[in-house]
Amino acid sequence: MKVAAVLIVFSFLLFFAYDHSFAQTDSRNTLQVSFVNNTAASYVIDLDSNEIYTLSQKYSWVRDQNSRYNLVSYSLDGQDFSSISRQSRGNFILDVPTDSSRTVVFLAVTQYPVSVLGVNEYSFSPKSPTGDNWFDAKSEIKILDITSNNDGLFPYEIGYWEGPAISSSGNSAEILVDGPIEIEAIWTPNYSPLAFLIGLPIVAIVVFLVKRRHKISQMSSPQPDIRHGTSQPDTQQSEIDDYREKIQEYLKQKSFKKLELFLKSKSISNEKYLGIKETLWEI
Amino acid sequence: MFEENNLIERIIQIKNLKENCFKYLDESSKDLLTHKIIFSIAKLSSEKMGPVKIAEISKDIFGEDEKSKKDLIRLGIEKSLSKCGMVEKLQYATNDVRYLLTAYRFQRVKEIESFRGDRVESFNTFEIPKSSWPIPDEFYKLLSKKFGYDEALKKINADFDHGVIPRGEYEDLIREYSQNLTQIQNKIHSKFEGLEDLVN
Repeated sequence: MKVAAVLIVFSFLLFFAYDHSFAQTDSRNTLQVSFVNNTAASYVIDLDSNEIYTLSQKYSWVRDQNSRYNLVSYSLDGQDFSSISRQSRGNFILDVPTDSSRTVVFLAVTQYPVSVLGVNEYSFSPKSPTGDNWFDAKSEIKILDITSNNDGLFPYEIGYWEGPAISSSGNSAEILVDGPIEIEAIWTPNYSPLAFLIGLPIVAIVVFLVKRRHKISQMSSPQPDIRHGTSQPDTQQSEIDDYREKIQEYLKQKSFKKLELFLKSKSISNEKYLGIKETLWEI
Repeated sequence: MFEENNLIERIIQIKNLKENCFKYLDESSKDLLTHKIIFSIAKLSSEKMGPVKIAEISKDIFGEDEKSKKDLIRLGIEKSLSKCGMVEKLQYATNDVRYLLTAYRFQRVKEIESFRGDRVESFNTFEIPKSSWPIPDEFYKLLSKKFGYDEALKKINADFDHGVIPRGEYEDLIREYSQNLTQIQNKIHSKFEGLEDLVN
């Protein structure tokens, strides 16, 4: 009889213990965290259904020796991706409800550092999305507002760039961020102010002599010469400027013509054509 | 947000299809759902520059995204188009699945018995309309500018030959325009290699 009672009690204990663990397993929700393009390893967290879970994810993490990944957006439970305010350091915090199992997918982009050497001051356009001179891969940026760190009698201007500049004009340059970039401005002295100072008295003397000669020739000849009324170099410069404008206009016309051909051959839709046309020669 | 390179690789490659798969592209199949799905995915992914969800395809084809419609599309993709290797399923998360065409040019491979008993292959290609290719605006801008600079350089040379511009100005312009043209060509080469021949 005693043995039977013990057996019954033991069976009850076994039943309750099993049932409890089963119930616990069944009600446990999970949070599955993954990354688009496997930029970091996926993982799963068990959620306590009574609390809100705070998910913490680093804004940046190492990709390799010369690059890093940086968080851009996330998607909760397969919804559209929501943008994340771009930061270089620290952790992104997301409160995840625990009433059911959840999935979070993070999208991160590759970033490379950009260093500009040989300059005093400069700025980037557009600015670094993370504010620390790291830029997203494949972005095109301009280096502007460059000032020289050369002190001296003569002003300096950028002669050329050492590094992967894809274009440069005056004191600015454009680069394509396809790896870690180190670019150096090589400055050359600009002697034109000095040349101006030296040349000014010479020009004044020449003008004086020409005028004097012209006066003498006018005095000796009663017929006025209308050609003396215009300044030859000024006319030539204005003709050159006109030609530059014309050729620039010709270049634009031909580009638009080519774009039209893409539309006519149905390579692009009308909507796409209008969008491209509007921004084709935008500065 | 999808990688541009990945999209361009899909445009450049030509995918071989057996006859039973190639039929989904035929004009005669244009009223079939599978045909509509292919063209809808192409159109939507070119607008979004990335893969598309079932709901988006459903809205494009049926004007609504009710479960029954989405199930029809899912069935069409999974039972036919994915099996033929025409559509790729991208699983972003357990409940976030998106679809993308594996290629934009397809080639029918047909085996014919010759009178001597040899087996020969005949080919027939189909191209999704270029307006539905996921090509970024930047590419068309670069090609248009490249053409513009080519033509402008020809004109500068002709004008110099006719004595319209002095040598100094001619040399400055040629240097400046050639430099810009080279930069454009380099950019096309580095970002869109292989695409120029297909579009021009």
